[in-house]
Amino acid sequence: MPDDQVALIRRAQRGDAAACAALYDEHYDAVYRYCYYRVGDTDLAQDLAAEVFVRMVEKLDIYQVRGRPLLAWLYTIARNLVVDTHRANGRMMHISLDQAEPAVDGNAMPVDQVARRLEAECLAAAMARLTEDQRQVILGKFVEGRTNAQMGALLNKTEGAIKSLQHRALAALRRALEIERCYEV
Amino acid sequence: MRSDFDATLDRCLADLAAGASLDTCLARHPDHAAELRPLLELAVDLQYVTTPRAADGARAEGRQRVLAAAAARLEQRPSFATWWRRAVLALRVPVWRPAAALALVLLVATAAFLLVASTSSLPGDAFYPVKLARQAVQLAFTFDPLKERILADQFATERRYDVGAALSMGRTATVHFEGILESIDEDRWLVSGLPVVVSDATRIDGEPYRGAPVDVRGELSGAGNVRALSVFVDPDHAPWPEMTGTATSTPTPTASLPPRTAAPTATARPPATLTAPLPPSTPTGTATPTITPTPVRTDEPGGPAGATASTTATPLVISSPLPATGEPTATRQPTEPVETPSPPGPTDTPQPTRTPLPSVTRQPTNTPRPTETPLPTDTPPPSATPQPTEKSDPGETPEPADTARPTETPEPTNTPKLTKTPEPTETPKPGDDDGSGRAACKKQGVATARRRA
Repeated sequence: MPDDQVALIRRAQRGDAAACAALYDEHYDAVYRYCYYRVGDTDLAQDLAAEVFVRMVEKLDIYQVRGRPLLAWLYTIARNLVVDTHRANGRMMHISLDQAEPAVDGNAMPVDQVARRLEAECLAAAMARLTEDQRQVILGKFVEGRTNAQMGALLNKTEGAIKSLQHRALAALRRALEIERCYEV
Repeated sequence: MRSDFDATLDRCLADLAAGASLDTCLARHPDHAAELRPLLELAVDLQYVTTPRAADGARAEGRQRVLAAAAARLEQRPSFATWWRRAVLALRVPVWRPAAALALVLLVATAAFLLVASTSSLPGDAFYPVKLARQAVQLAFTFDPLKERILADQFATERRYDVGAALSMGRTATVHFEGILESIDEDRWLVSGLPVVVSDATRIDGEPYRGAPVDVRGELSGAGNVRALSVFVDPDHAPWPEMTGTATSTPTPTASLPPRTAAPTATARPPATLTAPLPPSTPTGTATPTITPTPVRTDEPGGPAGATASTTATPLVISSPLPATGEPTATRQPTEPVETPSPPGPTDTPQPTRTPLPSVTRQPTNTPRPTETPLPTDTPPPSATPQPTEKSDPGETPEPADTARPTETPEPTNTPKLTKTPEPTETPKPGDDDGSGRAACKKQGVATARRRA
C-alpha cells in the first residue's frame, strides 16, 4: 500500500473529515460497481455504496493497515451489506430493463462488437451465479482493468492463483451468460 | 498442463489489452485456439460493458453522509473499547497481544495477591480455602514420597495451629485437621491439644483409643472447642501390639528387638541395679527401649515401695540414652537424685515423694505427653550421676540404696495413688489385657511414630 494511502487512512482514523472524504472520492466508483453487480439496481447500489463508506468511518478504529488495500476491506463491508439486503428483501432483486442506460457510444465500438453487445444488467444477473472470488476477478480485471498483481493484493492471492482464477471465472461466466441468454438480444 | 493453459490465456489477455487482435493471439497458440477463443471473446465483450454510472446527486449525497459520520465520530466521546483500539493502533501491533499481556499480568497479580493474603489466614477467613488449596497443590506436585510425607506432616501441624488460633479467637468456622487422640473423657476428647466435643450426631469411623491418629472434621463452636461432625480413626494404626515378655531379661537386647517392644522390658530390674546400669546404658544409646519402663514400672504393683523407687531410678537410666523419648517427669527427677548424693541425702529422701509424679504419669492420660517432653538436654545429668561415684564415697553410694528407703518410707506406699489404683497391678503385665498397659504402649508407639516422622 502506498505511503500516501497509509497516511490518508491514519488521518481518517484520527477523525479528519477531509481524509474521510478523500477516501470516499477515491474508492466510490469501485464500491458502487461492486454493489451494482451484486444487486443489479442503480439506486440500491448508490445507497449501498454510501452506506459502505459510512460504516467505514464508523469502524475505522478497528481497521489495521497490514499491506492489503483499503478497497479489500470496503469490498468486505459491501458484501456484508448486500447479504443483509438480500436477507431483508428476499433472495434477489429483479433487474428492470428500463434502468438500463446506454452503455457505450455505438460509434466508438467495433462493428462486430455492436452486434454482440453485452448488457450490464445481464452481466450482473450472470455474475450472481459466480463465486465471490470469481466475481471479483471478473470485475477487477475485465471491467476495471486491474493487473494481476493488483488483484492478488486485493484478494490476498498469488499472481499464479489469479491466473488460474481468471480462467475459471471466464469459463463460469460464459456458462452463466448462456443460461441467462445474454447474447440473444 | 492446466497452469500452462492459464499462462497462455493470461498472455493472450495481456496482448488484447495492449491492442493486439484476437486472431493474432489465437495464431500464436494454435494448440489452444479452440479453447482460447470463447474465453478471449468474452474478455473482449467485458471490456465494452459499461456499468451504469451513479447519479451525481446520489454521489454528492453519499459524500455528505460520510462527512456527517466523520463529524459525529469526532463528537462521540470514545468508549473504553474505542480508546483501547486507538491505543493499540498507535502501538501498531495486533490487538490481541496487548490484551493478552494485560490479562496475563492481571492473572499473575491476582494469584500472587491471593497466595500472600492466604498465607496468614485462619479458619473463617475468606482466603483460608486458598491456603488449603495451595497446600493440596503443593502436595500433589511433590513426587518424592519422603518429602511428601514431611510436607504432609508440616501442613497437618500448620492446620492444627490454625485451628488453635481460631479457637482462641472465638471464631466459628468449619475446620478439618488431623492429630493424635490424647484423651477421651466421655464426649470431650483432646486431639493434639485441641478440645473436641463429640455428640450423637458425630460420625465416628473406626474404634477410637488414646494415641490413635484421627482425622477430625467439625465446626468451631465459638466456645473454645471443636464440635466434631466426623472423626476418622486411621485404621493403619491398629492398637498397639502385644508386648513380648522376652524382653524383660535385660535392656541390652534392644539391639535385636524393635525399640518399642524393648522398652517395656527394661523396666523390671532397675531398682536394684540403679547405679550400675546407668553408665553402660548411656554409651550404648540403645536406651530408647528402656525409657518406657518408667510408666510400666510405676504401674507395677509388684511392691509399692520398690515401685516408687524404681520409678525414680529408671528415669535416670532411660533419660541418658533417649533424648527423644524422654518423658518429662522422669527425666527431671534424675537430676535431683544427683544432688541428693550430697550429705543431705537422707533428708532428700522426701523427694521421692515427688515420685508420685510418675505415679501421676502412671495414668495413661499423661503418658501421651512424651511427645512434648523432648528434654534431651537433661540427659547430661545422668552423666553427672557418676559424680556420686566420682566422689567415690563408696559409703555414699549406698545412698542410692537410701533413696530406696523412700520406698521403704511408708509415704509412697501410703500414697493412695499407687495403692489405690488397682489398675496398675492388673495392667502391668503384658499378658493382661487390662488396657492401661496397652495404652501406654500405644503412647509410646505414637511417640516413636512421631519421632520417625
